[in-house]
Amino acid sequence: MGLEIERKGADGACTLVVRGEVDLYSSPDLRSAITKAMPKFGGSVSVDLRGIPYMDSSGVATLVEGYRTAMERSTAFILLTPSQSVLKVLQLSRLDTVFTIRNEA
Amino acid sequence: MLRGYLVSQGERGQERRVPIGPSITLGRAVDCGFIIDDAAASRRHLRIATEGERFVWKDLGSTNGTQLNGQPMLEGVLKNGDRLQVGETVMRFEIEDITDEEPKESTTIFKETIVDWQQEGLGEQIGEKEERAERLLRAVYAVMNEIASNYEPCPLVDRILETTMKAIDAQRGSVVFAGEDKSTIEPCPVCHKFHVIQQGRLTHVEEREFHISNTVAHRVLKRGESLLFQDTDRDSELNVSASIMSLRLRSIICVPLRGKFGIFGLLYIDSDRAGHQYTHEDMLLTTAVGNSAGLALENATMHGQILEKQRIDQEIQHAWKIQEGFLVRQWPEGDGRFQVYGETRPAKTVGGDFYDFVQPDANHVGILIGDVSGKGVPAALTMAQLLAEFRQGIHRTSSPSAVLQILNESLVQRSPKGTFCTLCYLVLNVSDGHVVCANAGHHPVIGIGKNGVRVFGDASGPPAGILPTCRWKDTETQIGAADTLLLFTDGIVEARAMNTQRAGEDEIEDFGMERLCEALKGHYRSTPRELIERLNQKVMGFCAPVMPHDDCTLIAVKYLG
Repeated sequence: MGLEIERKGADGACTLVVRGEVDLYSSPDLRSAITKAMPKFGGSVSVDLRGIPYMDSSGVATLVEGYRTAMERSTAFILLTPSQSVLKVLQLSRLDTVFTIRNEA
Repeated sequence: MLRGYLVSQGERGQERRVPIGPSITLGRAVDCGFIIDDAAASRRHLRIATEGERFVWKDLGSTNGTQLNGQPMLEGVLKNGDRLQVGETVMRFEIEDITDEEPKESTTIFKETIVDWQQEGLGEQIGEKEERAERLLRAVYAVMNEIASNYEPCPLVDRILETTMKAIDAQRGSVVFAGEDKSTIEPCPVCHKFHVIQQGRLTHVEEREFHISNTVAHRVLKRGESLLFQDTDRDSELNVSASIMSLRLRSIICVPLRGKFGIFGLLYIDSDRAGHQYTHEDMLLTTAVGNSAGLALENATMHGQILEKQRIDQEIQHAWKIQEGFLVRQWPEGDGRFQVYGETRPAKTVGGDFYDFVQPDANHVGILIGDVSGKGVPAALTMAQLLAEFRQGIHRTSSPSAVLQILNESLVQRSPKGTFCTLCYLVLNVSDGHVVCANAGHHPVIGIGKNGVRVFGDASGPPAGILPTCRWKDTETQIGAADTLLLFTDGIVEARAMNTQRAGEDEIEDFGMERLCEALKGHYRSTPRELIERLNQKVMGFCAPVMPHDDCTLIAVKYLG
């Protein structure tokens, strides 16, 4: 199943709305979208995760990579409204303590 | 009358000046009138239209936006000297009054001639025509010979180019490949460079050093017909092509390379020499070559892909052997105080699961389990590095959380950004059943005893390798004689099966913690090995008929008291 990634908002403060399963095969798409959205310095990147029914460890690795790149560039990296299953994966591995997670209605 | 121009600086400082005409689209796609060779450019990035004396521009909903004189903007009217910027590419806009210009400057750059080589061969030229036909046959024959004896795509591309270009005395030529939707051209898929012959010299150049007429390339890719262009031709569509004008091309032959599944590339030949015109005959020869060369190239590429796949398979086998070599295979027997056993069942590719068993001192045994993010050789190498550090680290401290800290520091410093590792390390005092464990983002420990199955030692922090200064906590507990402690990885609880019980609705289900604990209930008498074998069978049965998609790794230690 392919991944749909929609980019919203201005450069330097955009939101990636991701829909579909993030696994070993689709996570490279997410990775490249995050890389492209990442400002050279400052700003923010938000990843909207409400449309993800399943995410495996390669998806988590992609988010971690985004997080670490963002740290280096003083960019805010925000996970928006993760679905229950994604939140479970993050909570289980205690990554919920690492990421900034925001819930939007 | 006013005319707008876009001016940009090329790689080597040369200026590229493109007239705007009624309108022009700028972007990365080859059919754009002005191609922006910049990763930040969208395929169709912006458009400029001439409206009487005004030049109106509009961003076509590009991904990365457009800047006008340094300000991000969406549309507007251009003034002389305005700077449009897309990514790193800056284009200057210029307005010129062309009212007084002689019309030939703008409209009759290319003069008319009709290409009909059959008419050319009359009278005394008959002998020459025969000679040409022979030359054509020889050339095709030479290319066929090369094709028959060459299975390597790169040298094959070179030979196709060399023999074709020699046969028609071409000035410059290249074999280019079609991008996914046939709207872009790509370099050689094997060496990722463009194979070019210019003035008789064969070179392999980067994309930025290579420019051909994109209008022509695009047209041949789309229509699938060979094309001959001469600057004396009246083909109006090509005459106004910005790429032909900016490259000052006089003559072009472009023929499709056809494989079993359609057109996948082009044999492209051009010339910017005044008076150098390719003929219809040259095009026929090139087309004949293109037809056979396409199939040969496709075969060679497929042959190459098969070899490459074999090589990767072998590499994975090697990686797996390296990984296996690091994992404990000989389990201690005969110590009346404990039993221990662990194993990993790799999925199709080499994964990042690992386990280890250590005896830091006479009264303690330790079991470690970990899962490195990602798969393949990089994960195997990270695992090898972690195990080496772990075996040293346990002698530096007796606290499991301090060991995790050592591994975290090493991982943060040395591995790529997306690499992290969940880890759970527990130490059992085999003289009194005291247990200390630390967990970095891993699944908890399962204790199996007479009184049932319990879960403890939840992760006290994220996986190792993410935060440089992360700390974890030691959790302590006491177990009784005959209790077993089990560590496991994702592959067990995330083993997936299609649940078709609901009518008409397929649902994917995980093996899950509940099934795992259920499978262990009442098995406190089993040895670690028996428990692990039982679990593996349960997981395989659950996933059947497919195999588990991820590595399944388990390690258990039993305290005999």
